[in-house]
Amino acid sequence: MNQKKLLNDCLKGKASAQRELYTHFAHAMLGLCYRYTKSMADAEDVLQEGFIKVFKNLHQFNGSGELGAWVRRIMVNTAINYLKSQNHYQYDLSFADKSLHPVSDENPELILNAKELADLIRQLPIGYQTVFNMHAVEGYSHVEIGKILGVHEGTSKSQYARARALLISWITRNSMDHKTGIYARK
Amino acid sequence: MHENNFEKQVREKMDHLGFDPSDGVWAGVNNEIRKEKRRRRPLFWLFFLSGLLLAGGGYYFISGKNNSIPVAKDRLQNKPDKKQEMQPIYQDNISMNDKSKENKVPPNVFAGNAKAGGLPHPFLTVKTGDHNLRGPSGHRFGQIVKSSFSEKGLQDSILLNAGGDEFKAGSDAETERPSDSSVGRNLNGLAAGKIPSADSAGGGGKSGENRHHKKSSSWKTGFTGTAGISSISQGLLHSANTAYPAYLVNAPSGSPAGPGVLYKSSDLKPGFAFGAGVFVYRNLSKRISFSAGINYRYYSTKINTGNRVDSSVSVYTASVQASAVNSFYRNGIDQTYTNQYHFIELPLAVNFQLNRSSKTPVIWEAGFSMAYLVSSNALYFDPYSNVYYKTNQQFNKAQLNTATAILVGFRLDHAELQVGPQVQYGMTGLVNSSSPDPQHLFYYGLKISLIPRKK
Repeated sequence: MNQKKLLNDCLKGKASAQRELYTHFAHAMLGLCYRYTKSMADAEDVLQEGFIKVFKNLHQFNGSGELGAWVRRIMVNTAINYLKSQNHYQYDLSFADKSLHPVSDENPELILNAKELADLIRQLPIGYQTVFNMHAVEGYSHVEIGKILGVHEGTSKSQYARARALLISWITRNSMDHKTGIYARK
Repeated sequence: MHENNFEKQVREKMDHLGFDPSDGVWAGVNNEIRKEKRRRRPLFWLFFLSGLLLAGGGYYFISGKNNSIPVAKDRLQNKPDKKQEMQPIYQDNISMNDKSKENKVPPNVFAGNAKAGGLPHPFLTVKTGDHNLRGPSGHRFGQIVKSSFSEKGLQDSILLNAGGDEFKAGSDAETERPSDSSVGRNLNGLAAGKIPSADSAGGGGKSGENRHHKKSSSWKTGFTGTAGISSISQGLLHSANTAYPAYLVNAPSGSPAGPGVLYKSSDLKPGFAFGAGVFVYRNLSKRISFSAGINYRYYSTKINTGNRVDSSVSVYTASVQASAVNSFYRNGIDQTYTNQYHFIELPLAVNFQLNRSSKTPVIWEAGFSMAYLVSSNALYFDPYSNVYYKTNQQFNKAQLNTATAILVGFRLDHAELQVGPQVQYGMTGLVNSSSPDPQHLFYYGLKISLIPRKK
């Protein structure tokens, strides 16, 4: 794909070019949206909203960076905004019962495939899920996460630690199930 | 180290996560971006048509009009007797140096018109120096009389309408924030719905650098200058045939030429105009911006006058039927007088970028401005006394103008330069409503805007 030509054609409003750009990124971006939401329908809503933003703001992309990274950021923004619109989100985000999910330093080997791992991440409380995705996958620092989500940096850290611990416990259990054949029968 | 290993594994796994979206997603995206385009279309046509109207009016004004200081149409009180009906008298006993300038109208034209219609008609064209006066005479024409003013060979014939009919003057960066129904929040950083700018996009999704974007939506400042030609229009739709006001119709018999006698003024010629000011602007979307500012504007027109006389003369104004002025200029061609108008104006405009180029944007500007006449030395013509005199009472000091321009932008090292033609039309009459001729200011020329850029 000639990215420059594709961008120019998209900016000129050519439907075929816009469709091509969409097709190029939609698969991976739906995976991203899937990680941040609780259902595929929600993920598709976020994807649609995100691509609308991409096309409306494409003139801002000057080509100096990677288009994929730029599109990805828009999707993350859209997903977070979507989550913030959910009423229970702020409650979940500030919810940090230390006794519930103790911090773990375990580092299990991931034998799950991508979708299995994503499904586990999606089972985390939504606050944990968001912070985990932003820090572990997208690479945001806790300071940045704090600013973006409107919480203290420490909250982000603790949320992440507990999300990580919970996830690892699930992965460990899942691995054991897998070894004993329980997982395979599911 | 172990922690990083876990995150690394998660990241690698998630990099391969993907799903094929349903067809409805693209349908929704496609529908929304087409809808956006459709929304912009009426706005484009609004600007286009307003610009076309102004440009057309400007062309009409520039190409076809013969402007003059007010005179002409009137409704007089005296009814002539029937014997005089439809018998306009064209008396050309004026010594003009250039006979070729005279506009003779065969008397039978009027007679013929009158006979054919049985009723009034008519437009009587009258020689007044090198001007024409036409008047729809309701039922009768009056008589043409010789001007009482005959200094230095300047003599104008004038029209005396004794028929009680009307005369007509013959001379005439913040980026657009997409609506997000599911979000609608405006926070700092990435989660704030702020779309990563091109500058910050290069950092990649996984790096933490450049995530705090500079606001591109703030007001920006620029400087503007204009230079061109100003003139007086009697209206975009050629509204020269306005009726004479009552105070002129009822002029007393003591006026120099007697009741109902109207003199014709000099042609108004275009003059130099310029302006300078400062403005602020803000992007409303990627191609539409709004600007507001403050300008000083100078307009001028030129007229021919006779000698200046420093003595008292009675003139007729709207507020008082007769008032005295202590100095005046005679009607004549002895000298060229420059009418100067100094305005302070507050322009408001919308700029629409017609192309998509960021290096040489073509911008269509359309807007309005409120202007205040700070001072003027312009002369006002009194068609009864046949003199020009200075007065501030006859002007509308508050003006509403409409303007349009096509600007081409060029990037300089530390600024953006925008240059292009501009047309401006005064929607408010320059002289007050009691005048028979509203005299709208018209300007066309070059506009230059300089917008400093931060390095």
